[in-house]
Amino acid sequence: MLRRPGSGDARIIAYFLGRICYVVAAAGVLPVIWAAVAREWAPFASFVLMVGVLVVFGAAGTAAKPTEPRLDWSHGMVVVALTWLLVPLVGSIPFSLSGHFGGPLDAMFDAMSGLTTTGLSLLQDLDHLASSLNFWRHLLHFLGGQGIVIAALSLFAGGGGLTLYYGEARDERIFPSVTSTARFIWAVSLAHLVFGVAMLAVVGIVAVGLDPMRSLFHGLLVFFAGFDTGGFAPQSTSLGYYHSAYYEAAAAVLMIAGAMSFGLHFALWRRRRARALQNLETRTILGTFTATLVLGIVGLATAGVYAGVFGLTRQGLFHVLSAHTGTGFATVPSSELAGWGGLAFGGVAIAMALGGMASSTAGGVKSLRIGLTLKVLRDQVRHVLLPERAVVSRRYHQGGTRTLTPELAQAVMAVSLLYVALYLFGAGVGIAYGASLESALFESVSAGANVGLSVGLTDPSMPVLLQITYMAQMWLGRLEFVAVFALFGFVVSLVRGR
Amino acid sequence: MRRLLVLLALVVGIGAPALAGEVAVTDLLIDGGAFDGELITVQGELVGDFQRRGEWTWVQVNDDPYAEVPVPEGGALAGGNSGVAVRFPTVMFDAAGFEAPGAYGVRGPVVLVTGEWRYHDEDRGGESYLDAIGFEIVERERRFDEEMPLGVLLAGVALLGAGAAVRAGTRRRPKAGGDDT
Repeated sequence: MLRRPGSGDARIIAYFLGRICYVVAAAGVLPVIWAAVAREWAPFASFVLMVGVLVVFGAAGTAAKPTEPRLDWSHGMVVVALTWLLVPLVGSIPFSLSGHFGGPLDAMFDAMSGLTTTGLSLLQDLDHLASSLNFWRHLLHFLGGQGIVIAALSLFAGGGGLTLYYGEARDERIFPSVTSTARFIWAVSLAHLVFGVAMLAVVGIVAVGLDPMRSLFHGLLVFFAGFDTGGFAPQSTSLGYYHSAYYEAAAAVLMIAGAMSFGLHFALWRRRRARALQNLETRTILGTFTATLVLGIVGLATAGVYAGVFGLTRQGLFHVLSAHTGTGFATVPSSELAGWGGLAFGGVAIAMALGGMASSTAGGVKSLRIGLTLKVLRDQVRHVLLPERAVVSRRYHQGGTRTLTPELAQAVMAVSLLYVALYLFGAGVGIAYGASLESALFESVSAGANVGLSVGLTDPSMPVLLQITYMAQMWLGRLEFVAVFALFGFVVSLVRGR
Repeated sequence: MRRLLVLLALVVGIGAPALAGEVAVTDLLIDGGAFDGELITVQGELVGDFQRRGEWTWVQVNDDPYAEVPVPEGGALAGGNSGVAVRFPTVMFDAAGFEAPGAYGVRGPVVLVTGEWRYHDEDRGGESYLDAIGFEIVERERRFDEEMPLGVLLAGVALLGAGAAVRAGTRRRPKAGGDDT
């Protein structure tokens, strides 16, 4: 029998949502300051309104003050799922008021895309967008990539951290305390911020020929989008704007860092390189990246898209890397990407679907699940081939030796299958609106795996239902289903519970 | 031959040689290969940054409707931007004395650029761009302001005040805690 959630449950959820709203409001002060300094007064007013709404939500939520202060598993999941709806909703206010969107839904599409680090966009006339609004788009990548809840955990010690942490699709605790882990994640990110922005700014000045201040601006925004594997870019032509292999290489370093799990960052920081390389996840991602890269380059070569080796390897490598890390930067227009066809197109699409490492800023099925799925399949084959009494090892290495239990195998397979279903569902909606199978699948995978590469289906004139489908895919894909399912369960309990 | 044309363009000022047909940027984006190696002309707004790299200056040229009236200036929505990269000889580019490229608050200079379309240029790692040999200035840059929506600002300030009042009203009540591990 379902238990109908009571006012106590609502108060707990509202209280934690309120706390998270305060954290987002604090982040929202940054574009307010930016707009004031840049004398962008129209965006300034819209950012003040956004912060005002967040503060009201924060105050109203925390005023709920639960009588039972403990946040259980289902509350945590519901808080996370609602946070990832509420923040894009409120965060889209400045976009809606900017005049750059066809309507509030388009604005929310971009806010959802930003927060989930997808990078698909319906923004119109990006090249005349106020710098503060551009900053906010990219800051959403940073907030979403690091995890808004992680931000809240870093600032507010205590308060049901574990369930919130897991709800945001992170399953790796580097330290025994979730708060310490959250703070480590932010420390890694801030260290990369300083290093990454400096690197991009220098390359921007030296290799691209940007003015120092503009180079810093581009560096900051490209860092947010690269390290958080987001995919928004300061200008309409994405990374093709810079026409520089050096700039692409610098961005690639950040994309790789973003797709690495924070556990791997920790291992490298502790100089445990050999152990990091032993990890099933590291070996899997190296294998799948090599395979999709070969597909991509062979596809481009056989289709004769690029005449020489330099062009072939540069463009092939960059786009497969962008896809596999879930970043979504491109150096060619979407119309050209759509024309790649065959193996190259398939290589990029597969790379997007697989995604980066677990507990990273990347989306997709994730390498750990791919590795474990392959191990399950290999073990099954061994069972068949070996004598009946033979014992097949179920151990694997991932930050230490672990055992692949049937329960774990089942969970891994279930989530992997859910991703496949998510990709197919979005593709089905695309096909229903007249898109080709290839294009519909590519765009759906891009949305569901939070990548952002596009073959042109994501357009301000796209049908509303397709738009909502992609938004739902971004939300589900980023939270890896569990928190969203918990929210659905909560709603069902409200209706049917006793 | 190309160097000669550049020289010619410099000698006659900044006039674009009327040798080539005008091509829309959308056509270059959809089927760039069809124009590879051809002398073409593109009209559009210089946006983003003037990327000065010694001998060459790179700029993006957009020929979308926002090149007439950008959105913040009141331009109608017409989809995404549509632009290609143009590589100008720096000497030629600097002679025009442009103040600022198109951005927020600036409708950039509108130019009619003539050059060779280089599609997937192997010398530049497969990039596509227009290698300019001359250009005409159609319109100089224009600065514009976007007005502050006072109602929006006041609504925001009022909400901040309301939030602070709610917070102050509930401050004395005991704090909630929870498990952290």
